[in-house]
Amino acid sequence: MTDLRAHVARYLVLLAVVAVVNFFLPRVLPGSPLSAAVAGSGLPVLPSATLDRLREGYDLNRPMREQFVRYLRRLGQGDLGRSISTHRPVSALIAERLPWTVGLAGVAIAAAALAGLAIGTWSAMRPGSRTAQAAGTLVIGLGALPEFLIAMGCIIVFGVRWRLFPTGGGMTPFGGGGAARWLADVAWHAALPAVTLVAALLPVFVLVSRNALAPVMDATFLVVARAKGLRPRRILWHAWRNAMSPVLTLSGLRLATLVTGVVVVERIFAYPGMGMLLVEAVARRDYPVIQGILLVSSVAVLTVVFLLELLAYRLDPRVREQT
Amino acid sequence: MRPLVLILALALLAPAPGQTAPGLTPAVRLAWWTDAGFLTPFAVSILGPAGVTRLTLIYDTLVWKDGRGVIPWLAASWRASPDGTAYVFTLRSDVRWHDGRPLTARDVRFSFEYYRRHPFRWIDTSMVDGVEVRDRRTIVIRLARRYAPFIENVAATVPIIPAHVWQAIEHPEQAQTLAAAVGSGPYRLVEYRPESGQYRLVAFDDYFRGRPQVREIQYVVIPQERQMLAVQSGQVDAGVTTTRDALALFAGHPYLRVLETEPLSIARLVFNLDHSLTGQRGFRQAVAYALDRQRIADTATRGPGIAGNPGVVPPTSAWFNPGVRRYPYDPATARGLLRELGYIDRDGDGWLEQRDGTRLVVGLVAGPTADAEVIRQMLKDVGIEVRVRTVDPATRAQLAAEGRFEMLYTTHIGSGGDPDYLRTWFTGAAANEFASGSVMRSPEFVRLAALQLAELDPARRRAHVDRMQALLSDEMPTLTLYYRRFFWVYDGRKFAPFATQGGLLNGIPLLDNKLAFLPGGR
Repeated sequence: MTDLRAHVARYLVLLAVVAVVNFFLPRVLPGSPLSAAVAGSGLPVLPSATLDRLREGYDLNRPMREQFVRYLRRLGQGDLGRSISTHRPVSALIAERLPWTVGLAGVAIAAAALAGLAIGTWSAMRPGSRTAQAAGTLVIGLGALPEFLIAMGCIIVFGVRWRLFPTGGGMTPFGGGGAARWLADVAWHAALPAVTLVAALLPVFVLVSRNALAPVMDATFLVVARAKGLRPRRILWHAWRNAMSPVLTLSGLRLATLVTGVVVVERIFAYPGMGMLLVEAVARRDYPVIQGILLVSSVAVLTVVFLLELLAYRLDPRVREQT
Repeated sequence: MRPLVLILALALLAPAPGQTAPGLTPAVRLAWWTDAGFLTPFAVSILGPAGVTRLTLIYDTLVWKDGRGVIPWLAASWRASPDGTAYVFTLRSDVRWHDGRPLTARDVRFSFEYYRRHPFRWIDTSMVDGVEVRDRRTIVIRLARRYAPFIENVAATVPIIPAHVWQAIEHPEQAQTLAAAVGSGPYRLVEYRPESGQYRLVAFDDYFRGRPQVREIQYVVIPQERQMLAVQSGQVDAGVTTTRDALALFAGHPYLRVLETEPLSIARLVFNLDHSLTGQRGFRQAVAYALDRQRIADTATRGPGIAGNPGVVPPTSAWFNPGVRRYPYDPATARGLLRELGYIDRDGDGWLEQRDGTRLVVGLVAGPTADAEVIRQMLKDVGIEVRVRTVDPATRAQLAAEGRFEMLYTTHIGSGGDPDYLRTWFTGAAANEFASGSVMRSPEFVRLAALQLAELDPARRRAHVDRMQALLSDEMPTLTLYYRRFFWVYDGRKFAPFATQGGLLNGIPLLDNKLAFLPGGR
């Protein structure tokens, strides 16, 4: 129990460091909300009175120390501030976008993990076979393709040529209907982004699960299990218990980093998730929004890593022994 | 019996629920590549022209622009005082806000007074000294100084807002509810989805110019590079490109049409006049001779482009002065000018060296554009090494503000309509630190800029503006490379957009002029 408390305390310290770094990180970027406003205004010069007003509204007329104190005070109250460009609460912006990304990334990771696990297991059980080698080569080739290329290919083939799926957006604009219809519409729109993500994630899951499982397949305890006449499914289960640790870790980390990691896919498909929000916020140098996204994704990563540690501790006796 | 027959006949002729009457378009869906913020004058995004353009569908202005120029709108008529420091507007009597209340002179006065405390960030209204209400329909707007483009740049641009909605609101940028988005325009905002940048605007049937023919306008976000695909696949009813190949691509299409706007977007090189290298006029002129602007224009717009005028104003504008220095493509003249400045290829390696023997190198700050590479190649041909620094727009603006550049490549709109932009871009007087580095040093230019602003006689103002263009072409704080048109591909079965003279508001090349959706069109 004491150990767990120390562990939690370490994470809290880390979170505090993240909160401080979050304030300074967007400000290290060249440019400012003002320069972004001028650059993107469509007009090369804004009236100076307007600029003064903007500067005041963004708190940029205050010293950095004062801005930092105000940021910490707000954070202490659970207030992530207001967006500089939209004037809306950052928490509301994140709440609107997070479900889209978590939904898309969750489905994609689950699908990639399951498919990767199946292919990886299949390959590990056939060491040296030509088909397994061919599958490995194919997977490595797929992994070499950048996400944007896969996405554009999907758009051209499935979206434009065959018109099977929409080429962008999270749902049909202003489409009506009940919950079932809404869900179907969201799934239909998520199809191509999800396929792109699965294609991008699949290779690493295949390779990790294959490489984790392959050495275990020849382990003595499995030879004994086979000799005892255990059924193949039972043997596989024993093998997997010993090999699942890296796969679980990978799944968790991918899920955590995907909060902001689906930027490319969301940008290409105009998908209304956190990645798009981050891209927009960085382009606008919208400091409070960047801070909010970084904080949420940091919390997500730390939480998932923490849970993974707990899971590994529970599942793997070797981890317990080391601890 | 007869009334019954009549009622039955009318019932048969009337559109069923969910249908639209003949001649009316149920909905038009338009694309842009970003969200444009909540549609009030205080919360709308000024990062690009999409937001302020959409505002014009919800809010009205005193006057408006069609395909030929300024026309009466909320104001049925107007006149300027003889000294040009006051404008008397007579409002229409049949205008109502979306909530049914009448729009009066008091609302106009309130609007300008409210904008003093909470500026409409798209346009400067600081020249308005006061607004006097003469009666329910007559207002007098008094200016602190004479301002020649007042009608086009202010009266046609500033949205009139309802006093009864805004008078109790202290933080208008945070008022983002549909109840706050009450205007007098032809459309009401009924839905906004900020996470996906989707808007739904529904026709306001009591509009004083008649019932809008397009019953609903929807806006969705489509990345710029996918807009043509989206139009072709029917995902949206209009999309935009800046390259001419749209004309050939959609020629002969059964219903997709292409609308070509005026060249209201400009691509230019900005020189840092405070830098030891680019501060030399001879160097800037040498760059002008060394760059084949026609070729750059043709390449960038994929067709016969409009090469940049060293006097900045596009040749299609009524304000264009054809008598300025032209700087035709002439690498030999460029080399001669550079030689006069002491930049000579001393070691025969093809690159020019300075007097101390070091290579002549100039920095170019630009976004990710092929134009930067073309410029680099063309200047290489005359022996200048260009080091391109690729940055995002916010960084570019910051570098410009701090004068940390030698040459800077930028594209933006605003080169249409009233030529007062020559003053705001190049004097720094009404501008700000973001124009630093390219502010004209010539006292004559500054004097002419002030004169044209206060000159109400068109011929005399024209003479001042002509001279300003001539001075710009001599001094060359900026070199206009080319002008860009916007090519809008739209579904001709649903609506008939047109190119607004001088662009919407103060030079925006968008197609959603409210007239295109109203009875009678343009």
